[in-house]
Amino acid sequence: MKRILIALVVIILIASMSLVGCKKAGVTSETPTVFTMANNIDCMWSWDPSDAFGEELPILFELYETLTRYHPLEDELEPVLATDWSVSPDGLTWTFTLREGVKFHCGHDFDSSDVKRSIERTMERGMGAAFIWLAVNSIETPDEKTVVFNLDYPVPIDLTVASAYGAFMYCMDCVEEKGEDYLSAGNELGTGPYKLQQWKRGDQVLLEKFGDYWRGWDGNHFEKVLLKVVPESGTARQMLEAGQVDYVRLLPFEDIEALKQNAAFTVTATPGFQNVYILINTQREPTNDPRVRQALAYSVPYDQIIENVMYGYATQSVGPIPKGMWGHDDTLPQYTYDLETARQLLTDAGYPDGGFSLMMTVASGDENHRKVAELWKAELTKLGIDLDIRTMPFDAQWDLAKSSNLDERQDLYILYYWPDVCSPQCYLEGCFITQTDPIIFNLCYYSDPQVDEWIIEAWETAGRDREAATAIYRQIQEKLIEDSPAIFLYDMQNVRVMNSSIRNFTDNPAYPYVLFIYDLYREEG
Amino acid sequence: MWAFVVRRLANGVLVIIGVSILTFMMTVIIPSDPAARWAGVRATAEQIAKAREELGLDKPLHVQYWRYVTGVVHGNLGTSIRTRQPVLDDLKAYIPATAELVITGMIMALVIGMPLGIWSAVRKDSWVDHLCRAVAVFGVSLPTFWLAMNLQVVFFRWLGWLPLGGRLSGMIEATQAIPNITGFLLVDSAVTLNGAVFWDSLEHLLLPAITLAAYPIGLVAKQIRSSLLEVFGEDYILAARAYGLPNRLVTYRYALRNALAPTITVFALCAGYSLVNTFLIEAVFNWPGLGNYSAMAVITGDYPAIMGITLFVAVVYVVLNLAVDVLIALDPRVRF
Repeated sequence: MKRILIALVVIILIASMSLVGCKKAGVTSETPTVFTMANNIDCMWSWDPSDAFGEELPILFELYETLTRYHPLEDELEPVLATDWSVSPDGLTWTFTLREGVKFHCGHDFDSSDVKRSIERTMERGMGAAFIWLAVNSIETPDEKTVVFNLDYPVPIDLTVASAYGAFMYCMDCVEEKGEDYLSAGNELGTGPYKLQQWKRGDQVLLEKFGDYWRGWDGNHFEKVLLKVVPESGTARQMLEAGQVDYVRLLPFEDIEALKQNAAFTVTATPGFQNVYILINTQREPTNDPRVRQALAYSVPYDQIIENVMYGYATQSVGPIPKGMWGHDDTLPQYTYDLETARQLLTDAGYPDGGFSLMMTVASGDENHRKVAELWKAELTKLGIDLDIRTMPFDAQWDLAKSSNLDERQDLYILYYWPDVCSPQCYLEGCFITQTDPIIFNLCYYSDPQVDEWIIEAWETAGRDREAATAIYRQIQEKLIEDSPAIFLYDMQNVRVMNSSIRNFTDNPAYPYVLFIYDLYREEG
Repeated sequence: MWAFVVRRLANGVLVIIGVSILTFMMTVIIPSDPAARWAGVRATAEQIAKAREELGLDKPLHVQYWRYVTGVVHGNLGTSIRTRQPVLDDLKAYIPATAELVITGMIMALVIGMPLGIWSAVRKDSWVDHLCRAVAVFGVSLPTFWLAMNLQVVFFRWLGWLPLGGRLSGMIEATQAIPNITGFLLVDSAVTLNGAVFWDSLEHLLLPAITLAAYPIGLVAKQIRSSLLEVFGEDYILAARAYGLPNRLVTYRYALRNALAPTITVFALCAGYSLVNTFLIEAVFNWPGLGNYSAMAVITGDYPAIMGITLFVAVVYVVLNLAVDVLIALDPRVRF
């Protein structure tokens, strides 16, 4: 027994000594430049770029590319995999010229048949954001570098191909060879600057540079990208402070305010396209009366919410289309916090002392929305209205809103919204066009034939005549503000906290949380 | 003896079946429609109905349960609603990290807890005894999360000796080929003689393992102490001492052996408990194990994942208990 023990100890000693030797060797080996980010969840819900419709973007946009990229604040389209495009006068035929010399990570060349087959596969699967292609009737490929979209009705396809969801190009030869489920099993077939080195489920995603990337690797770029899953924001903040990560995706505003004081971190705030609506049930008493809904809109303490809940990183919305997006119009009327007017409207509607209760669902875990509800509740009490705040898991809230039993549904639903195709249409068609089956985001159950007609007309005009479309969008918004099926609460800003040594970062609100890491580099001091 | 083992085994299977039925029933009452989750945000009623059919949710409950059980027997735990990956693959990805943590913690508990208990019993009522008992009481009664966060403050914030969390540091992960043979980083890196990974993973493992070990250390020390003291009072020990046998021999050869049985039972139960206790520790130390996966599964009503985790934990419990029973049964004085 004793001999065995001694032998064991000797073996362990020798092994650890040799390991110490290795440690030194490990440090001296050449170290690549790594960009590290902390994410609160494993965002890779779906690895299939046709299906992904959640929080996968920060990784997918490093692996894959779209034909064009949209810069909404300048309202400009940047050529990416397409170099040039044009539209026929009737707006029904779009022709794209593709970039030469683009390779997929698998080594195959990128050509028009990949474009055609990628998009067709997305449409066929019908998952995620497949609906963005609804207007497409057929896709033709006259030659290797030309793609022609034939549409059923005119829509701005140059914006659709820049969509953050459902518009990625991938190698269809490989998909056909390796099977339909190859991608969703955690593989990728993109053209982007980085390729997947390793995915450890629920833990991390590691990317490495793709040597044959068409933009080349001259100049200063990161060679690797590491996404760590760090669920606890306190832990993430400590890692950022210790220099273990360069960027944290989500931090509470309290932490951001504290980090702002420290020169080691850069905090950027850009207008974002995420906004928050409180959707009002327009199908049930008493909120089926527009005057009651207007009264509700007058009772919200907007400034207090923006100051105390959002720490100033938001502005009160003017209409449903967020600031910075084309179609947004600052001259539209806006509700303000005005309890007198609210009381007058309630009196007109036959509720001089309020005397009713409204049920509002809030997703559990969403602290900001809960605070909004609490602040608003205090104001509603002054009007004699009781706000019954129900905190429940997001899924339960979502199911309840779509319940076939209309009496079961909520009166008020607080919705955080962000665009797929970066356009006003996404907001209006998503939330305010008549929807019965399926109900998508129209959880105010609003239905107005005139508005429906305008929404469709605006999008069909948008591809040919942006100005005419903008005029229609103004009309729609005026009507929505008047009818008040929703309270347009605030437009959020994208707040990003990074280590100050990271340079060249600009936030593109069309692609939430995407950093485009190829453009970034590190410079100390 | 063999009849006993077979009986215990049959018992264990019954327990697992019971647990699976209970969990299955609970997943049915969760207020969330898995078919709607599966079909996605923009699904029509028709698509949801189709998803319900695909998932077999339109069948009567007992049929659903039977389908599940036959699947499990064939190694198919279903597909996670949230990750859309086979639950078995998910579990395979998360279990090694948790297992490495629990096993390290348990080894620590034995290596530290046993000597503490023995020392304390041998030097009863001396300052050593008081110190050991204080350590044991602290270990048992300190809230896990409190200990975890304080260790982080001391060793990461103040001293800067040990990392905050995770299994490996970012630089190591980005620059080293991480071996994957058993899924236990310490073992894999030692086998492949990858020193950088070995030391890095050891540094990351220390704090969570100590946190996890705190409770069992206290438990083992207390148990050993009281069993030893009891045995020390027996006549045969008195006789041995009267013969003038050396103290060391009496303690380790004669007393300790008899004091071990109750400790083993307590320790095994505690090991099973630690498997669940680690979920909290994993959250604080950002340890990529079963904990976070379970939390997400519960929040999103991902019933195949919940079932899979529960089954796994139940099986571990049953196996541990069985092992203890068999170990104790090896004692010739135990009669069946």
